[in-house]
Formats: sequence, structure tokens, C-alpha cells
Amino acid sequence: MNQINEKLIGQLKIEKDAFNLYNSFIKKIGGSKIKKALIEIRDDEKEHISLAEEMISVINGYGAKIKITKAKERAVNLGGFMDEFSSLFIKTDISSYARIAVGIVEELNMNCIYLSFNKTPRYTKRLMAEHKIGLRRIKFVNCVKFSKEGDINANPEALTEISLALEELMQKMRGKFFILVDTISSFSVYHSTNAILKFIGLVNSKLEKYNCGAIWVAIDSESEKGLNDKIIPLCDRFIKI
Amino acid sequence: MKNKDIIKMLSESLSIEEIPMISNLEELRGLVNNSSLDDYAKAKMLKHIGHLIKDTLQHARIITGLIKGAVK
Repeated sequence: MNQINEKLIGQLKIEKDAFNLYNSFIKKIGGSKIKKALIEIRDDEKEHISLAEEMISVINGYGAKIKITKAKERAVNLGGFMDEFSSLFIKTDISSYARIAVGIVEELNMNCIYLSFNKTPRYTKRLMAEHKIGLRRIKFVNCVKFSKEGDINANPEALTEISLALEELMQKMRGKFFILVDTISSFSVYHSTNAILKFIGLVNSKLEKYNCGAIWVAIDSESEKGLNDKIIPLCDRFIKI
Repeated sequence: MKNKDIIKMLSESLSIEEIPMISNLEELRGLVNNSSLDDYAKAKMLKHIGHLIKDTLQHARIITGLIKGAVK
């Protein structure tokens, strides 16, 4: 089986999982604006399943004849991180950030505190496992309210609680480690720009004490521009990918 | 359904859209672009993948908006 076929079969499974997930939510939720939106999304997923199946049949028609040239990955330049500078702000688009976050963990290959603010870490862990990243070196802080997955949980509405959870972990970490925040943009669902900036400043001020680094990942979008512009001066380095 | 359950449900939805869905589609697009597929098949595949990516990003935007609404 070629790589395209493997990815397509994976895509078909994800689309089916999403379809089933939305179906189960639609059954549980009462009539509302949310239900209407989920029905529309669920119907899109149904169409996506057909598209994925169609693409599989296109690729099947080519058998094993397809050759793939290895593409050069858009790598993040992490040179000097934790030696020359300790805080890094990365701005990227929504379609790349998950791959970039996983790429950072893969490239740095050291202990990590992964702060997952608005997404359940389950999918990030799966993506890391696909990339053969050892999860034992990563401590996940799960801020998805009411989602208990055996990680360290923190209330997204309480920045003090999150910073205390981070500091507790920083004290326990051994060897070189870094904090990866996925994503700082999502903090704006619960917090004002000023509160977010104070939080970043607080965490960055503790990096030297614990001899670690922090990588703040943000989504590059018009709605987040104001916040992103203010984060840049709070970090030692800034990269736009 | 309680508000806390709605937020949990929407966060789960956002997670599936933003992580496995988008990552897999982006990797797929890269593979197709660098494949020996003929122009016709490549164009067809890229059109479908582009459509899936556009919809998925739209879903993520809608769900993020719903989360913001549920939090308020």
C-alpha cells in the first residue's frame, strides 16, 4: 500500500469518527443554535466520507505505481533555544500549528510540559505516537474543563491555578525541559488580553529559576493580531511560520 | 444538557477538527503534491483535499465561536 492510500484510509476513519461523534452529540443536546450548527457540520462530515472514499478509489486505480518524492519539511529553527534564549513565541496558521507543535517536541527531544488549553490532549498524544515520540517524557496539563483523562487538570478560567500547576510541575521536572503552550490564542476565550499578557510574563519570569524554556504557540489570524503583537516583546525570540 | 457538558462536547469537537483532521489532510496534500500521479488525478485529489481543509477550518471557526458563546 502506498503512503497516499494509508493517509486516505486514515482520513476516512477520522471522518467517520467525527460523523459518529457529532451524531452522538446531536442526540444528547436539546433544540438550540448549537444543535443546528452541529447538524450542519455532521452533514458536511457525511459528504467528506464520500469524498475520502472517492479519492481512495482514484488511488486504487493506480495500484502500487505511485512514486513519492520526499518533501522538505518546513522546520522550525530552534537553534539556540535554552542556550542563548529561553522564551520563544511562534505564530503560525491554524492548519499548521498541530504539526509544528509535534515537530518541536520531536526536534527538541527533551522533557516537556505540554499545556493543552482548549483541546483534549488525547488527539495530540495520538499524533505524537504516530511520529514515534515517547510520551513518557511529556507531562500534559489539560485545561479542557471537566475533561478528565488522567493528566494534570487545571481550570481554564483560573490563570492562577494554571500557573500554580505549572510551577508545581517545574519543581518536579528533572534534567533539561521546556514548556509548550498550545495555544496561547485560545486563552482569549476566557481571558482579557491584559490577563493573558500578565500570565505570559509570570511564566517567563520563572524560566531562569528552573533552568527551562517556554514556547508559546499562537494562531496567526486577524482576530488575534492585537494579542499577538503584544506577546512579541514579552518573549526573547519571535518566529512566524 | 448542562453548560459544562456543552463546553466539554464542543472542546472534543474542536480537538478532532484541529488535530487529527487538519494534520492528516495537510500531510496528504504534501504527499499528493510530491507524487508521480498524472496531472488529472493530482488536480482531482488536490481539489477534494482543498475542499476538506476549507470545511474543516470553517468547522473549527464555528465551534470556537460556540465555545465562546457557551463560556459567556
